[in-house]
Amino acid sequence: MYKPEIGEVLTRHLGRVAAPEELWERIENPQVLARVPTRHRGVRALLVFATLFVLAVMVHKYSMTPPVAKGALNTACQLCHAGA
Amino acid sequence: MVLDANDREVIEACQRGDWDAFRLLFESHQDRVYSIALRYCGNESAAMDIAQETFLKLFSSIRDFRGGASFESWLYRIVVNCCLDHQRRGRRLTPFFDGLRDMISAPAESALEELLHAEMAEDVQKIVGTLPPEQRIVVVLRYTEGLGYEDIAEILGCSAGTVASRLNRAHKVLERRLAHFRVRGGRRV
Repeated sequence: MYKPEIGEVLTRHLGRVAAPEELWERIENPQVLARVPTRHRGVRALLVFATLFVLAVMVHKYSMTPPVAKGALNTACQLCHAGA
Repeated sequence: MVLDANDREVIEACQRGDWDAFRLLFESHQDRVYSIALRYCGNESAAMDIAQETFLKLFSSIRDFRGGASFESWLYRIVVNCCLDHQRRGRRLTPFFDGLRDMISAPAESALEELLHAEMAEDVQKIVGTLPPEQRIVVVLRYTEGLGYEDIAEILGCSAGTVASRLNRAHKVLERRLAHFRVRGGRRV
């Protein structure tokens, strides 16, 4: 089995590279810093939308639940306790 | 990692807010910073973000730098923190696992050594990218910068023994993955 001298391989392939020319321009214009990649923005928007949707569904369901009158509730309790 | 008189003058000028001195300092260290970022994250766009962030942090905090300490160690600490922060923030853009299938499958024979070298470099970078962050940063500082265990330990704030242990674990993983790749690919490094 081929077993490379790992140190040599890493030294050969992980060496220094020249920085791109536009790096200084980005330092002079720091507003370019920490751009959120478009796809991350998309994912974030989707998450916000999903959360809002779930909240809206929950609120809607809650508001659709008919209120139970106290009297009806008491009757139900009494029936249960009476063994009905 | 000793500061010479010229570097000291440049740093002092930077501390006084001299923009030309910042430019000089940038030119002296841009390749180093960019290379660490690129070798750590494996992605040119993310490396640019990290390098930019590193220099902005450096320039904004250079007044805090005390001449007694090693400037290079200080700079290394900033870039290492930026690399780790970048990953923590979940902005790791590198598709480390992209092409992994291609990498372990048998490649086509090619007579072009240069092409093989470039391809191998890319593969090594991808495999390094799969290492846990604490091992990866040690590998980058060791092989991109050629730093010794003591220097790496100082930058990372751990013991030289920890550095040796992390490097040893990384070597084992890399050796296994590269060997596997070699056998499957039948290519030479």
